[in-house]
Formats: sequence, structure tokens, C-alpha cells
Amino acid sequence: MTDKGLCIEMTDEEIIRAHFDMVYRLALSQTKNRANAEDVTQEVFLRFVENRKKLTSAEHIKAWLIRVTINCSKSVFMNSWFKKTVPLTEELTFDTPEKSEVYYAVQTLPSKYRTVIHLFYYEDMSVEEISRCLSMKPSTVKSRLFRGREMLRNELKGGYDFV
Amino acid sequence: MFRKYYKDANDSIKPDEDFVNSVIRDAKKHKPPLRARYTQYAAVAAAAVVVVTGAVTAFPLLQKAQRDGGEGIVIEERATDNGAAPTAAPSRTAAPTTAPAAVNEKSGDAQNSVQSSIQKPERADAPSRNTSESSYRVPGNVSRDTEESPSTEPSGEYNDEHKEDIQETAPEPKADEQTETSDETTDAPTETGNGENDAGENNGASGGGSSASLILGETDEIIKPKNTAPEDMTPYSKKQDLSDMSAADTTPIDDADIPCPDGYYCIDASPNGYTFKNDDGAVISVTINYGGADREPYITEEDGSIYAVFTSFGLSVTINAYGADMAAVEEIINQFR
Repeated sequence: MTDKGLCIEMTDEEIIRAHFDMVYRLALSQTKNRANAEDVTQEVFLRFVENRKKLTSAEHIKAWLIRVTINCSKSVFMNSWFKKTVPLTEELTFDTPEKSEVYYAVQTLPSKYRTVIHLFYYEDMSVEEISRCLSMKPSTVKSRLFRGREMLRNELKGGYDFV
Repeated sequence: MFRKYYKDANDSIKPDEDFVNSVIRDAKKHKPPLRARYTQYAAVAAAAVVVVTGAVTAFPLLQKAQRDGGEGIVIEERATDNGAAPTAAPSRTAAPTTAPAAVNEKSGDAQNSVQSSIQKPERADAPSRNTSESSYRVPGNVSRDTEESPSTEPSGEYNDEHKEDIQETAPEPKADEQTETSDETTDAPTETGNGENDAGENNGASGGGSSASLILGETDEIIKPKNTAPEDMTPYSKKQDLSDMSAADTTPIDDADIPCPDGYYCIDASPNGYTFKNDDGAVISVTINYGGADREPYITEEDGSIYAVFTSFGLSVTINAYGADMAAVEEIINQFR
């Protein structure tokens, strides 16, 4: 989607397809499990259809989807079914060892650091955008980004720059 | 470098296309939010509440209006004496004093008493009048008490000794009634148990025909209880048998004509009551006595039986219905009110 300003004029199906990968990957980053990520994705888009009229702009839609995805991912862990079961460990395969190393290094981070790292480095969101999206102060986002990077440096043995 | 590798790693993660299509399909046919559905049902529920509330509020008023609009009870009496003037209202006391003024007062109130156009069902087999009552009847007096004054026998107990006393103190009956008296006196012990059938047989044997036609004249009259009538009516419990009610503590109403309720037919007409039955086997027993002050109907329904008691225009009416519907009972009640 090149022009996100046109998102508001798109149909629901077009909006879902445009944001599907973003929601799915964010859910997978939060839940670390494909099945749970699929459940979260489906729940997010059902809620999106129900609340479609409340969303006024493309930025609003994206921020809303991110916020709801994080909330739904948290609700998965709050589910009693999740507390009584142990999810199967899934090994995602990547074509290069660097991709795999970086991806699983992020997966080792605590959730609150993993979220801001994912939004900052994958979604290319600024600190202000992340703060607005997550309803927290920019300073909090910065501190979490800093601490997350420090953890990744320790995990990755300092082989990557975090620009 | 980190950004590049992390982006490439995430870009290589692709959701299944079938899953994407299924999510889109589910999103298209998704149901409306719960709040919207509740809103729809809320409107229906509010309408239902309004209807039910209105019905509950209006039902007592309709019942009251129906009661107020009903006809008062009127009982036709036929005097035995041909061409005799209407006699006074009967009373539970033995005093044969007449009270024409009281009758006129009551009958003059068009709202409270209306002439009944109901005729008692004529039965060809037996008139089924209680002979124990006709034997003590004072000529020219409609009152046919089976007991003495309440001052002498307030308990209302019926026994043969009591009957003998009454017979001794009773005035000399007419010639045509002496036959009945002698016959009934001999059959007195059996009448104590169940006088209904015996009464019919005795009347038939004596050739008197219907006791009502013998005793009462052809003129109609509205019955009004005497003002001096005692109000110590024996309370009838729900479980009390009707045969007990027809005994000495009641003042039978011979001419209290009650039409059969819709769908019912009369299977028995005792001096102070009737028994109706329908094809489904439902039985309604109506017992009429002279009572005191008017009382509103007290109706109880339990296990398919309906019990109603009320006093209207000086008549105490007790209704025992078994297997009958409330409409039939109310139809009978409305005939008295």
C-alpha cells in the first residue's frame, strides 16, 4: 500500500489484506507460536470489522490494529487454557543464519522490550508513533529501546549495529 | 545491519493463503456486535413488559367491571295457594312473620335485584326435594326451616329428636300435606343419612309430584332474607361433603333456579343446591342457603378443584367444582350477583 491515505476508502477486504502480514508477524512475535498467532490475527480482524466505522484514517487503522494485536496477544497468555497447557516449540526456518540468529535473539527478549524493538526496527515506527500507539510516554519507549538493544548486544555478542 | 536482518527474517514469514482467505471470509459474514443484538431484543422485551403490565393492571378492573355489570340474583317462588299473594322472604328462624316491606325495598332496587328468566330444569323422574323440609313447612309461609329457632338449637345439629320437636311445635299442615308428613316421618331415619333419593321416592309415592309445585304458588316473587335472620351460618369447609350441608343447619332454597353453565347439564337438584356435570366428567355442586351480610366471592383453586363461597342478596352460596374450569364457576357466580 503506497498511499496509506487512501486506506480509508478501501474496502474491508483490501484493508485486511494490506495489514494482514503486519498483524500476523506482530502476533507471532508476541505469542511465539503460529497457532496462537493465527487465532490472534483472526480475532483482531473480526474486531476490526466490528469497529470499522470508528476508524477514521489509515494511520488510525494501523495504530488501532497494532494496539488490538498486542492486547489480544496478552489475552492469550491470560487464558486459562494457556495456563494449563504447554505450547509446542516451533522452529522457524530462515534461509540465512544471520536472519535466524537475529530473529531468535529478539524472541528471547521480554515482551515489553520485544514489542518496541519489533515496532521500531520492523515497522519503522518512530518513538513518538510507538508511544502514541502503545499509550505510553516517549521516554518510556526510549528506555525500553535502550534496554532491549543492550540485551540484544549481549545475546548477539556485539556483531550487529542497531541503527 | 540488525534492522536489515530482522526485516528479512520477518519478511520470510508468510501466513498461509488459505488462512488469509478464511479470515476474510469470516470477517465478511461476521455477526453484529452483541450490543446491537441486545438493543434489538431490548425493544421487544420492553414491548412485552408493557403488554404484560397492561394486562395485569387491567385484569382486576375487567373482573370488577364484569362483576358489577352482572345481574343480581332473582329467585322465583311459586306459592302453593292458588292465586295467593307473594309470601314473605324465608328465614332461618321459625318465626313465620312476613316482611313485605323489606321485600319491596329490595325488589325495588333495580340494580341489586333483577328478575331471573331462568327456569329450574324439570326432571321427569323425580323432583328430588328433601321431604324433611316440606314436612315442617308452615302453610302460607315460604320459610321451610328444618330446625327450631337458633335460640333453642343454635348449634344446628340435626337429629331425629330435634325433628320430632319441630313437628310437635309446627302448625297443623293442610290436608294434602298431611300425607307427606306421615310418610316422611316414617322414613326419617333414612333421611338423616341421605335424604335425597328417599325424598324423591316419597314424593312420587304420595302422588304429590314436585314438592315445589305443591308448596309454592304460581306467582313469582323476589326473595329477600329477613332482617331478623341469624348470621350464625355454619361455616362450610372445603373438604366438607355436600350431603352434610343439606342437613338441618341450612335453610334450603327451593326455587333458586340456576341455569346450567355452558356445556353442563343438571344431574341433581336438591332443595338447596344443584349438581351440574359436563361430558368430560367435571362436576359442579352448588349449595344455596340463607346467609347474612353480603360477602365477596372467595375462590380457591387447588389440584383441579375449585371452591367458591360468597353471600349475595342474603343467599349464601357454596360452590364445589371438581375438574371444572373457572369460567363455568364464574358463570354460576355471576348469576347470583
